[in-house]
Amino acid sequence: MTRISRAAGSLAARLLPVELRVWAEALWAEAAQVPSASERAGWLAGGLWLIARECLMIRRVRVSILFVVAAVLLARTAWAGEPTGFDTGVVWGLVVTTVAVLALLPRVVRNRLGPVADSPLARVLRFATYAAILGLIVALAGVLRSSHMPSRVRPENPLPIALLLPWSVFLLLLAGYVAVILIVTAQRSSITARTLAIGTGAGISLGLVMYAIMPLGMNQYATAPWLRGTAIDPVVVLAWILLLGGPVAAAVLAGMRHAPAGGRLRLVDARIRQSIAAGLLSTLVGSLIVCVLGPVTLVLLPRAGLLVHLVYPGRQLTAATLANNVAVLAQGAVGYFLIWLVFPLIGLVLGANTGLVAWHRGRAIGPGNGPGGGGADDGDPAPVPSGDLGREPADEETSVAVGAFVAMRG
Amino acid sequence: MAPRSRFSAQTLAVLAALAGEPSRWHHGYALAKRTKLKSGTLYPILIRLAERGLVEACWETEPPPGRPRRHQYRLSTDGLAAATAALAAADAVAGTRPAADEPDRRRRALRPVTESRVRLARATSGTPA
Repeated sequence: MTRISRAAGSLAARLLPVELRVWAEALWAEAAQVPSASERAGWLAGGLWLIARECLMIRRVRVSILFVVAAVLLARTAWAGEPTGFDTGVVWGLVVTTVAVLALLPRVVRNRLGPVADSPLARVLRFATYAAILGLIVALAGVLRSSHMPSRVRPENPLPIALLLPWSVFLLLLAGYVAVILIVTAQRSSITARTLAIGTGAGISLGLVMYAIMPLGMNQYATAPWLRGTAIDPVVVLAWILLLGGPVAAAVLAGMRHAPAGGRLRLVDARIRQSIAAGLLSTLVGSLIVCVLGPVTLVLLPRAGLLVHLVYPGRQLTAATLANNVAVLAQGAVGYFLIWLVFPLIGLVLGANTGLVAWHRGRAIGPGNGPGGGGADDGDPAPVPSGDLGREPADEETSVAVGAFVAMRG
Repeated sequence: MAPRSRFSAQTLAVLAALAGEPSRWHHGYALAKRTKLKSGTLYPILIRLAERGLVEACWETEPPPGRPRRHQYRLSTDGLAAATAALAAADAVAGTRPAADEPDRRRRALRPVTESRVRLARATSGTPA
C-alpha cells in the first residue's frame, strides 16, 4: 500500500517544477521514518496536499484549470439537445477543433517563444482572446441550433462541401487569430508592450464602432430626428476611417515610439516589425470584437430586454416580430465571415506598407534626418536611444509623417 | 505596543525548532513531531524559508544501508538572525498580552517557540546546555 502511494506520489511530484520536486521527494523519503501505517498514510496525504498546493500557486496551472473548466462548460452547452443532423455535426466539429487549437497552440508557441510576457496587457490580451473565442463558439452553436438546418440537410445525405468549406476556413482563421495573439504576447517576442497597447487600442475603437453598426444598427440614427436628412452616415464614415486609417496611425505610432539600442539597420527593421504588428493587431482585435459581440448579441437578443431596447430603441416588438428580426439579422453572418477573413489582411497590408514606407523613407532622407539620427547604415550605433524611448528628433517625425502620407496614398 | 512578527505562528514554531540546535541538521519527521505540524503544512513552510535563504537544505551524503537518503535542514546565518529577532518579537507580543486573551491555536503553536527560546539563547551566547 505504502509502495503504491509512494509511486503515486512520485508520479504526482512530476507535476511540480523541477526546483520544487526535491521537496516532494524529501517528504516521500521521510515517510520511511514514520512508524505506524495510519500515521504514514497521513504523512503521504500531506505530501499530496503539498503537491496540489504548490501546483495551484503556479499561474500556468491555474490558467490551465480555468481553461479546462471553460472547455467542459462549452462542450456541455454544445452537446445539449438531441443530435439532429448536420448542425450537430458542425457544432461538435467546432467545439472539438476550437478546444484542440486553444489547448495546443500555447504549447507550440511556448516551445519557440517562451511563456506569456511579463506584462499585464499581454496576459489580459491572451485571456480576453480565449474568453472571446469560447464565447463565440457558444454563440455560433446557439445560432446553428436555431437555424433549422436539419430540415434542409438530412442526416442520411452526405455533408455538402459547399457548407463544410466556409467552416474549415473559419476554423483555420480562428487558429491564425489565436496564433497571432499568442506570438505577439510571448516573452521572447520582439513586439513591445507599447506596440501591443497601440494596436489593441486601435482595434478596440474599430471593433466597438463596427459593433455599433452591426448588429446594433446605430447608423440608422442618421435618419432619426437629430440627424434627419444626413446624406452620409457619420458612424459608417467613422468605421471606414478607423478601418483604413487606424492601422496606418497605429503603425506609425508604434514605429515612432520604438527605439532599441543597436545599429541603424536593426533600428529600421525593429520599427518596421513594430509597425506591421500594430497594423495587424488593430484590425485583428477589431475583427475579434465585432465577430464575437455580434453573434453573442444575436443569441441574447430574444432573452435580454436591455439589448432589444438598444437595437430597437422606442419600439414595442412582439416575440414573433423579434424572432423574425433576429433571423433577418442572422442573415448578416456572411458579413461577419468577411470581416473575420478580410480585416486582418487589411491591417497586415496597411501596417506593412506604412512601416516599409515610413522607416525606409526616413532612412532614405539621408544622414542626420532619418530615424535614429545620422551616421552610416550598418553597424553604427544609433545615437538617439538615450533612456527616453518616447523622445525622437523633430526632423525624424517630419520624415515619418511624409512616409505615412505616402503609405496612405499608396 | 510590541511589533507584530512577520512570520505566522506555524513558521515561528519551525524557526524555533530549528533554532534550538542551529548548527545541527534536522529531518522533516523530527521537525513535524517537535512542532506538531502535519507534513502538508511543514513542507510549504520549509520551502518558503529556503526560498528566502533562511534555511539551508541538502540530502544526506551517507545514509545507513537499507534506508533511503533523507533531506535535512538547518538555519542559515541570515535565518538564525531572523529567527532570533522573530522569536524575540513573539516573546514581546506574548509578554504584552494576557495569556487568557490569546487564541488557543496560537498559544499552542507558540509553545515550542517559548521552549526553544532558552536553547536558542544558549546556542547564540555559546553557553553549554
